[in-house]
Amino acid sequence: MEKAKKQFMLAICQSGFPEAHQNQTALAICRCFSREAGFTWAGGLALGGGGAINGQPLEKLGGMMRNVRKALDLAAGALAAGSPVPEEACALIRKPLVPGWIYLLMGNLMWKMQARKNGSSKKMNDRPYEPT
Amino acid sequence: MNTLILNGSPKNNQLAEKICESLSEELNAQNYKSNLLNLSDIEIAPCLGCFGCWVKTPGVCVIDDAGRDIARTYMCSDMVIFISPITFGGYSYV
Repeated sequence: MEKAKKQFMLAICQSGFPEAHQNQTALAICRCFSREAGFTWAGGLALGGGGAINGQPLEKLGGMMRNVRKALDLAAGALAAGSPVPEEACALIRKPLVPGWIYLLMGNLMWKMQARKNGSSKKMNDRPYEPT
Repeated sequence: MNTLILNGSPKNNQLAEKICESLSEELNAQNYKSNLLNLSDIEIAPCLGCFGCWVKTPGVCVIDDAGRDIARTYMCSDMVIFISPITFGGYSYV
């Protein structure tokens, strides 16, 4: 009987939280799926602060994305060589895109501007379902 | 005391049904008011990720469906119990 081809599984998770570690649960679930489905786990890359990317090409975002691009290049190279993603790539992509306080400041400003645009800025702290 | 039981198991899951039944019986015996919701029987739209519940209708989903009633029941409960299968380490999506 022919031996089944070894299949790798790599997971890349990003979220709007500034901290990359917020993706660890999602990556752990992917790793669990990989094991149950018979894949070889190639690694998990966790990226925080995804709001700063906002769907734009990584090249267009300049130096802010240098670690992300480098990490993806390292991961792609390792996979092409049939190896798991190196720890260096995981560590690089985990690095904050901008300092946390700048991300939060800009994020909060953006949410407030959007609420104002929708005429709901005075309702932002509402708790509509809370029993009175 | 108002208790809400959210059953996120697939339909006809006998184990979950038994757990819910036993829980309801026990809560009623303790004079708790229990409310069991089998989420697989309820049409709830998936999250669009639109953030409308932040910037358009704060605290309320922009989709007007049973999800709003469940959120209200949740907030008015003194205790909430989740029943969920674990799939690849994650809890039920419903």
